[in-house]
Amino acid sequence: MNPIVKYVLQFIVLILLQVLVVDQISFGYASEFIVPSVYFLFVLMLPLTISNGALMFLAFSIGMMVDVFKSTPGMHASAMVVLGYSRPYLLKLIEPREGFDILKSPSIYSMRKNIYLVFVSLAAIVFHLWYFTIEVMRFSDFHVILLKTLFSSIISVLLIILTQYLTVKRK
Amino acid sequence: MNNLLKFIQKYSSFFLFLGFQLICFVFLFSSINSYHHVSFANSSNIITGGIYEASSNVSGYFHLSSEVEQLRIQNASLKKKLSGHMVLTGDAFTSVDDTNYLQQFDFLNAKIISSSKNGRKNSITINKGTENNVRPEMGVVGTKGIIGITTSSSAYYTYVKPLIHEDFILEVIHKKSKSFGFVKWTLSDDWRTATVVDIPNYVEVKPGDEILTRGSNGLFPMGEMVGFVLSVEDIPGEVYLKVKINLAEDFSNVYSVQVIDNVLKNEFKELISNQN
Repeated sequence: MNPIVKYVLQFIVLILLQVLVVDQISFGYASEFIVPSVYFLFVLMLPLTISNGALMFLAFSIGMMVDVFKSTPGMHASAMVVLGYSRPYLLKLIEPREGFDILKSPSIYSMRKNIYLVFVSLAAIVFHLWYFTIEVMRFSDFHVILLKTLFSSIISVLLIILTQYLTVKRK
Repeated sequence: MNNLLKFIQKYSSFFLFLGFQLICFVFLFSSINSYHHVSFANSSNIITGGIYEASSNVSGYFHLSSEVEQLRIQNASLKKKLSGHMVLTGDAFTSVDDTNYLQQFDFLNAKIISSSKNGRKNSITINKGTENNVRPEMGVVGTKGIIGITTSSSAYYTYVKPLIHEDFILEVIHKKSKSFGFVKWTLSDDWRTATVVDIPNYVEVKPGDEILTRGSNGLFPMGEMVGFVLSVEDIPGEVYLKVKINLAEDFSNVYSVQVIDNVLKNEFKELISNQN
């Protein structure tokens, strides 16, 4: 498949997956602390050769789309831009000695599984920490922000791994 | 100048990052300071509204029974009110005459097609818009209690700022004492509770007391159910109580709502603006 078509499809499917499926899951009494997001997987899956500017622009666009769906002005976009900006640093942090295969885009099949798990977990923590900080918007409730980040990140990582096994084709 | 350009080029992705963040924060703060949302950027627009409606048309079947149950309960309470009226008209007073009475509040049925309850800026989208004469600044009530206030409409969809939104504020009364206060959704509240502030501390407020709308801003009729007192906190050194209430409406399970159109709202607004 043409890579552009593939990424456009991923863009649309991940937004719909987020707002129509993941946001509808109820976590009962813990639901205030568990607000998982899976759509930021889009930014993690972009090719390694992409420029920083394009990466941030795509992150901003998908964040803005989710904002429109959820009527949260600019909050998801802001968290996504942070994630887009930090993705190169995260990748450098977890890069194995022999380096990544730059022709493949990051996925659970193109990386070692434990490295990929660390990559997704770090990304989830960065994303949720920023998101809940601007949502709560005061540092006196920092423990609330940390708890929300922790629980939401754990569930998000599980959902993302599940999504990968369901969608990405084994090569 | 050359050095400056080199500096910008070296840190270009960081400046780009700052630029994008600036755009995001403009959106964020413009929504906090103005009563109306930027209307293209929320779930009341035609594309997101359409997608949500298609999805709720499918998922709607799964909660039909609980919806019917809610409507049955509301029917029963409405019937009770009717029989109360019948006793009164048996008296010597004249019966209700259309030319003597003006219907002040119009109720329009609507369906919630998407809602959230876990964030701090929760949202509700309903499937009626300007084509059905639903406009911004109208009250929305559910079968059990008040839901929120409409803030922006497209032709067929409307975005509602629910009671469980951190910017929501509404004047309410404590039914027993008729004292006024404001209901707010503070950081210590979740989707089942809210906080009423500004009730003086000499007022006796007990758990279980009813909190109703005051109807002061013309969006809701007087006496719409808001919630029941859960606990009362007397803050030392303050003259006001902090009253925690249980919301009457269950925001995790709400589908049918009514939008309230106050026929006399413009007159009311004019009166207020003339005074200022």
